[in-house]
Amino acid sequence: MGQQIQALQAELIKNKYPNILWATFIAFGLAPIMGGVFILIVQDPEALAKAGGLAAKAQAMNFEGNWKSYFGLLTQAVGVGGVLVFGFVVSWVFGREYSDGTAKELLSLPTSRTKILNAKFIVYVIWCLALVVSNLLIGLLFGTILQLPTPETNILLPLLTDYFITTFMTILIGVPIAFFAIWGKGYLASLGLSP
Amino acid sequence: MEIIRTNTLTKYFGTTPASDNITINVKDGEIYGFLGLNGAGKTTLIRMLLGMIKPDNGTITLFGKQLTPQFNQWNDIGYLVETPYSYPNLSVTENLKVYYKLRQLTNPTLINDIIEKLKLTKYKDKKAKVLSLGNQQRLGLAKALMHKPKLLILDEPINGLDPEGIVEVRELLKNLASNGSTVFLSSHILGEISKVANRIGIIHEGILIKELTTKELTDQLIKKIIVTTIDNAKAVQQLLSSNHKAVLTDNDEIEITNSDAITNPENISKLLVEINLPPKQVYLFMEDLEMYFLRIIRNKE
Repeated sequence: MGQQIQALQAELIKNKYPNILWATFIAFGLAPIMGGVFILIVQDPEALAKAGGLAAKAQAMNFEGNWKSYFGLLTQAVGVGGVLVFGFVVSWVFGREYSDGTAKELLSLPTSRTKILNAKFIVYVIWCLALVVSNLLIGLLFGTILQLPTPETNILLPLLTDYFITTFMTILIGVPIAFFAIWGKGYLASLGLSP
Repeated sequence: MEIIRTNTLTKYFGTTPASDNITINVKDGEIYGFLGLNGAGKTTLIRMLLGMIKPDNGTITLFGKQLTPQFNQWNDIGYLVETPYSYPNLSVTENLKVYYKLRQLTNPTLINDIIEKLKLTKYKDKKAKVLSLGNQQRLGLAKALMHKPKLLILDEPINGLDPEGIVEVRELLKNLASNGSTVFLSSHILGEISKVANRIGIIHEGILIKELTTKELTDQLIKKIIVTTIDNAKAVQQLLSSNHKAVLTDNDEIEITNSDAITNPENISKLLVEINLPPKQVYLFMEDLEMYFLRIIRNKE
């Protein structure tokens, strides 16, 4: 266990300043912002008339100005955008050792290769969870600002359950992408696999 | 005690033998220089020693234990393989921290100690990507040495270093060996290896073609006395009649190769003066190490 913790600490040091970290948060944060815009549009009939394409999209999605609709959008963003963004994350975490040329330095150490891989998976999961939690917080913030009707507790729980089950399943999709990052010795093969 | 022992180590890349039946032994406290041209198979052997690639045939024993996936003495080994890459966005200290954690070390002063030892103090907060090639090499060495390994495996350790850095690394390796560490280093620069190594192995096209001590190497270098006089043809005749092995070269210089003359070149001067052909120049030519290396390789081809 001690070895695994040290390996994880090493992995966290490696990810101290990646620009890609902020890029993923910005890219992923577009979904709740988009949801906020949809709420604005559907709440204001005048804006709905002016918004054209966006309004059509909101209507096509049967988007309504309530928490259920908003959470539905966020869950879809995790399921669709998550595959792409999580794919980037996993490609970065595993592929960087090859593009930085450091992969060979990890092969003859007291920390086993399995533990180093485990640490990478843990960082990947933490990173993805931070992304979905940040989206959730942005969503809650926008929903509150836009005065969505207070949800009933019995609605909120299944919405959150759906959100996190989708997150879990999308994170699982990253596993084969990690394999391709290692097999392809870098980002390219794995990014190609990410939809 | 044998620190490294390989037995008929063989590795093929396709049909090309990168390492062909290599058997070497490196003893405790020894500095073993592994010499070969680029592509001779040095890095392949080093990668096999470090368990990075599997040999097609043969065995490796480190510290008396066979190298298998269960081998667990990696903290007794420090290594630098080819160009030392670091995490470009991390500082020198942070890069060392990564390996400090992965080596499961428990003495935080080791990081600052090695930074000071390798004169990286000025750069310790600088990101690795802005370091000069020489300082990146120092960082690579710092990673290899931080945990005070008993065996150091270095692939071309002086690449990119300036003359001062080369001398520092040379002294560092000698100090390590004198404190009981064993060093296995590869290079294509024979002159550098001969300055630090006790024993040298020469590899060519994957085959270990020669193994010798530094003293044996010095003995095997071609030595000759080069002389010029006002009448070289006459001087050669006189030298031959005095039982010296002398020849006149195309450059109109006299080459004398018998050991008496090499040991006592003053006797040649004396003889030439006595026959009224005082030498215009007399000097001892010693084959340089690169020429020796190329001669050995060509003889094997």
